[in-house]
Amino acid sequence: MNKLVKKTLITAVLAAAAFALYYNFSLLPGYQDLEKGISDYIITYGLHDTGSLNLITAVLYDYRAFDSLGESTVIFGAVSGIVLILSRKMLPVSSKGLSFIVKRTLGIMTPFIALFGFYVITHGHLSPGGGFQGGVILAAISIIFSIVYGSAFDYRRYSPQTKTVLETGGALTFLVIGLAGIVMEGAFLKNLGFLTAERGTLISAGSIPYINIGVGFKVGAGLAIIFYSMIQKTFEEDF
Amino acid sequence: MSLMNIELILLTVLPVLIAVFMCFSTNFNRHSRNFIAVMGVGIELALVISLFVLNFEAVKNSNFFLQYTLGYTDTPFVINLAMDNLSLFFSLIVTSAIFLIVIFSTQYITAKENIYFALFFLVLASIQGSILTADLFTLYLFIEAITIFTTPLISFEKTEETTRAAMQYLFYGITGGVFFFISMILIYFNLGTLKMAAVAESFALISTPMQLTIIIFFLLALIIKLGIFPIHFWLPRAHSACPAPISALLSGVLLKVYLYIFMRLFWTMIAFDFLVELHLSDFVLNLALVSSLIGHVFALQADDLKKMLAYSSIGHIGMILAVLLLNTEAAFYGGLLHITAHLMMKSGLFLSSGYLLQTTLSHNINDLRGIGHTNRLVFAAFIIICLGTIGMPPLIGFVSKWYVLLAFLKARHFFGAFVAAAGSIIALIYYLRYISHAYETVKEDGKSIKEELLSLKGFFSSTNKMKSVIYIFTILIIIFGLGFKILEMPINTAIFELLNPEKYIELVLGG
Amino acid sequence: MNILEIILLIFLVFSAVMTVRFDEELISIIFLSIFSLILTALYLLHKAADVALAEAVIGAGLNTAIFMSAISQIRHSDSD
Repeated sequence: MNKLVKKTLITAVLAAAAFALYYNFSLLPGYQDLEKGISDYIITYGLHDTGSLNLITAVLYDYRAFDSLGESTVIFGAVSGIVLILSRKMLPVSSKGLSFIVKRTLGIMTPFIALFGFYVITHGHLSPGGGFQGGVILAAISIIFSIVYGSAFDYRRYSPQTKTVLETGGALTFLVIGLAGIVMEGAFLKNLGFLTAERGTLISAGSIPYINIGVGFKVGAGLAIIFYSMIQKTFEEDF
Repeated sequence: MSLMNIELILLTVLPVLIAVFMCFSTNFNRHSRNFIAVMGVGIELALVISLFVLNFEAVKNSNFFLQYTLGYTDTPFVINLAMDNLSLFFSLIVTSAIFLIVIFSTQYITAKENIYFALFFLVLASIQGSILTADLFTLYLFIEAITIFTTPLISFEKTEETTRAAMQYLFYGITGGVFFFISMILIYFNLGTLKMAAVAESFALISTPMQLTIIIFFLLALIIKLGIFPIHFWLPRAHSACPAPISALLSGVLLKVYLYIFMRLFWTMIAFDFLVELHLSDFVLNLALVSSLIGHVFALQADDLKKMLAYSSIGHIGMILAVLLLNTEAAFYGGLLHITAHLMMKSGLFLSSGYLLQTTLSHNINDLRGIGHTNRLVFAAFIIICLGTIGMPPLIGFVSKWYVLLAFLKARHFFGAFVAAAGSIIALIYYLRYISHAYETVKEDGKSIKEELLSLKGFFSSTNKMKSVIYIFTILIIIFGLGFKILEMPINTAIFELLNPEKYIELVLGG
Repeated sequence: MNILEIILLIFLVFSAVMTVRFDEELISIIFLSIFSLILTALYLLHKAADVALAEAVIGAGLNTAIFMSAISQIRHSDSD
């Protein structure tokens, strides 16, 4: 088939699909007409039920914590799969890293990035953020180390075994809190009442901060493992 | 502390715990790891069977219903796990098959078992979750999870072919997931809820074009996942590239889970009348029948044993989907019976193909020469299961196909009856091709069939675990073929759920 | 819909098209991360701070790094 004809055909099909979707979405009821039950409910009772000032975290880690458990399990499975597919049984040999100036600059910056990551994780129930976002920031530190200081630096500091332990530890935290919910509150993953403190303080909102910490470590370690298993071969050749 | 219906949540969470534990088990020796794996799936099976036995009276009167609420009971967006007769039936057959597959793979998989079993148990958890959940978003999550967890298992033996098959599988799986997601979003924006029962109650309020879009996207998603005709080419590649236990899992178990999801969506959540009203049911029915025919015809030209089995899966799944779409009681009976039969037969066939691979170079038809002489008993079991798939009288394949045929004839759908019969005849040809090749070159060596039968001392020892699993599948096929009435009670109660979705809706919303 | 949002939306579509149009992977990746940044701004404009943070961190940060490492892998094996 002629290339031009093919291109036009694809464009036409895509345009038709886009139009169909647009037509359908234009049929949607306006935002105001939506059944307001759910958002009203969260705004009215969310803080009272969960003690979390950040209502999004309240939904993610309390009302629908089971879904979050599923999502973090998906990350866990994806990490296992990528390790399975990409593992090469090669000793990581490092590049020398970037220049002195970059190393110095990032040496000063990295602690602050780590601090911000921990802040996002631990203050998930008070301000925007939470386990997922903070975990990714922590994973970014590992990536910066690999690129700027060479992958062996990161390997020596935090070996893959340590990361695996951190990851499974995070997953276990989530599961154990869930099972504790059965024992103490009568339902899986229900907010643990005895942990609740005064609203707005750091250690409040029941089990939400602890789930956040578990998810944070899990996501951070998991994504670092993914990046690490992808980068191995590249730097070996740069050496 | 209330322990009401705690089995439902344990069914989903227990495999996740075992999977996390398996990741730690790099330094374990083989025996303890295998023990943990078999124990884990054994507990799972015991839980499901105990649910069945303890509530036997309720199941018999088809008013069996269990529900587990996660978190705050009175909120409008609470997550429910619910189990009725249909889910119980599927949970039972799926868990039993997975139990046998795990026993097989403790022996079959010899490298990287820890990650293999971790991923396997994650797949088990998502299968149980998608069978039990009563919430649309959680269902979507579990469907995606199944796709993501099975992809690395497909490319377990890192060759170019398996990687390509896995990439294709992932691409089509995710595409199907996206279509599902679009439908889900549309439902949420129209009704403001994702609880399946609540959606079922108010689905009629949506305007007709919107209904059409929602149903079409759901259908597209499930057609991709089930491997129905226009988008079927990923299936044989993916199902033939992976190790044998995973083939059995994908072809024997996962396709049935997608069929369950199809039933849950189109009979419980969206009433079937909407499909008929929008003239979609006839179209999909004919598409599934064409797909069935095409699957059987393509199986004729496949020179690879596993590819042939995968194409034959397309044929059977198309037929089951078509018969379910007839929407009569006889059709449901035939469909559910054939789901059970196909689950056993296809798992048995894939597992025995995996066993046969150990004595041959590849699954190519030319390498299978003389295999009937070297592995007599296993190949005899293979032939018996093949005959079941074709539909020979004393086996379960015959019974189920008979009821499918009856359902088509009762509904005066003669094209369907033709496809069901023609499928059997074509299947006879392609199985005979392989069987005749297997007995082609006569090679004399050692054991006669009598000796092999008499050496039962190692029947349950480690060397014969794989064989015994294959024999168990064969014996199950013969037993259920003779006494298929055992299955009548659970299937009839499952049909009751399909015919009366109001019960499920009322009970989920009521408490 | 104010003027800022319209400008951002136009740039969003522009960067999305550019991502697909370029044959050079590196440029595609950079446009993808620009796309993520514009999306972050849009989320913030609609007062969804959590989503904005996630998009900035994952879309603009992590995705770019992982894509870059994948590209470098491909280039290395090409030169072999």
